[in-house]
Parts: sequence; structure tokens; C-alpha cells
Amino acid sequence: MFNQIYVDESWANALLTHPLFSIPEPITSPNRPQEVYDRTYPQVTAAHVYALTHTEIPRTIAAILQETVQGVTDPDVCVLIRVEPSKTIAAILEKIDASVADPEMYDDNESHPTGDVVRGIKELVQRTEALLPGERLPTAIVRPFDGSIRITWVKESGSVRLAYSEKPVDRYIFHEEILGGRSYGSGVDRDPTPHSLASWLKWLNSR
Amino acid sequence: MPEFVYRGMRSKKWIGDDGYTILAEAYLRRPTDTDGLSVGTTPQAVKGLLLRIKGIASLHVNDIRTITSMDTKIHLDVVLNADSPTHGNINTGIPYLSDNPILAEFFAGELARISKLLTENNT
Repeated sequence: MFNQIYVDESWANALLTHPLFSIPEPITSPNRPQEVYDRTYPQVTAAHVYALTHTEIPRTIAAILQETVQGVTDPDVCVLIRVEPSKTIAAILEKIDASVADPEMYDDNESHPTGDVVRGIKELVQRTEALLPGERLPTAIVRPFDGSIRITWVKESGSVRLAYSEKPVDRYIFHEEILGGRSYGSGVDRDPTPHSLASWLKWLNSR
Repeated sequence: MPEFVYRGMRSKKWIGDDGYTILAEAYLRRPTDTDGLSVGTTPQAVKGLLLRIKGIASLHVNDIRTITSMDTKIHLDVVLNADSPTHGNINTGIPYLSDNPILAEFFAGELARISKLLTENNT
């Protein structure tokens, strides 16, 4: 059922170093992905697939995973389908593309995010997700804003907003605790790296 | 001062994906917001001011006045235009996003949370 999956080396390496994985053999041969995957399949659990769809795998692999498992009645695969959440990395990346391309997201004469901004924030999100194995994050809201892209994760008890601009000096992560509908303890982290964003998202999840 | 003021949602990006939550983006002060964040005293006043809107949010003026930055002690208020009293601005202490992102984000989030998107029936 997974015979269409092809993994590249960077993804495989990330997989192997992932704390959730205990796959005994390296999956580093792009030429023999099927055999390798067949051998490692017994160790692949629902948690693995959850992580797979949340880590830095290429969008195409996430799509193949979804397409491949659809319609299959194997009980193991059904488990995999159920754990596939809607808030995958792929969903966020799609939201970035969709919001940037939507003309209704802009005011008159408002600057659009450049290709560098789009690529930069996607890379940041992908690398952040790789640091958050098994985390079920709140749904992300993605909006273009004056040439930047903003991603907001919000819960009743707090929010995290990533602002990603062309200039690194204008990038930041805003975070706030919300109590009784009001903001407390807000702050800005001016160094939005995968580690800092992952840290703030873990903080949000712990609220 | 009226009990409520109204802000036109100029862009779809100011409203959440659920179609009714107002986002902080609706209250981030941009370079073009020279007088502050514009509001109307009635929904009709908002409609008359903007050529295209995606919705209208209502804000209780007393709720706006309770928004205070704990760090700067700045609190928000509405000031109506002397020459056009059906329009005004939330313009006390809201910085431009580029000048003070932490305060701008704080105020924007607070304003978004006290905003309610009006339905077609009550506009």
C-alpha cells in the first residue's frame, strides 16, 4: 500500500533522528524506497504517520500518503487515516499559498509578499514542525499583511502570532496569555527561528 | 459619545476563516492610518465611508476604554471628528505596527476580542 512512497535523504535523516522513531535501518536510499519501507513497516505506527505528516517531508509525499491510504480497508491503515489530522504542515503550506494568491486578502495598493517571504516562512514552519513531534497544534490562521505574512495560532488561553517580513529586523513572534478574554503577559520574541517558534507553540499548547 | 462604534472590515483578511471572528489584523495600525483606526458611530456611517467592505464590526465604547497597556499605562479611547461627528478614530496611544510591534499587537488583539461582526440583519 505504500509502494508509491519515495523519501529523499534529508527527510530520511530527519526521520532517523526523530525521537518518536525507532527504525533500525537507515532509509537513505532514494533508489530503493519501497524495499526499505517494506522492511520497516512493522515498526511504523500511527504515531509515526502522525509525525510523518507533521515533519519536514515534501508536500508531495504527504499527498501521496493521503492518496495511497484512501479507500483501503486494512484496519492498520484505517488507524492511520484517523490519526491524520487536518492541521498538517501541508494544510498550513496550502493556506500560505491560498492567502497570498487571494486578491480579496489585500487592501487597495497593498504590497504582496515576495517569493522570498513565501519561501522563507514555509521553510520556517516546516522546520518548526519537525521539532514538534506529536503536538496537536491549534488551527493556524494565515494572512498576508503589507508585504509580510502572518500566522496566528490562538486558543482561549493564549495566542502566538508569527510575523514574517522581507527584512529580518521586522520579523517577530508575538505571544500572549489570555485570561477572561483579556491579554496578560504579552511579549515579542524578535528572533523567529524554528526553535523559538517551536518553543512558543509548545508553550501555547501547555496553556 | 455613542454607546457603540463600528469599524468597516475592508479586507477579507480581517475576518477569521470561520467567517465571524474578527482578527487582530483588523486593528493593526498601518502607515495609511494617519489619524488612528477609523470608526463610525453607526453601521450606515461606515458604509458611507468605505467603497467596499466585507463586514462591519461593533465595539462597545466602554470596552475600548478599559483596554490599557500595563507597561505603558496607555489606554484607548475614541475621538469623534469635529467636522464629521458620525466618524471618528481610536487614536489614543495606538502605535504604528512598525514603531512598536508589541504594543500594536497587544492593542490589536484586545480590540479584536471585543469586536462582534454584525450580521446582515443588524447593519
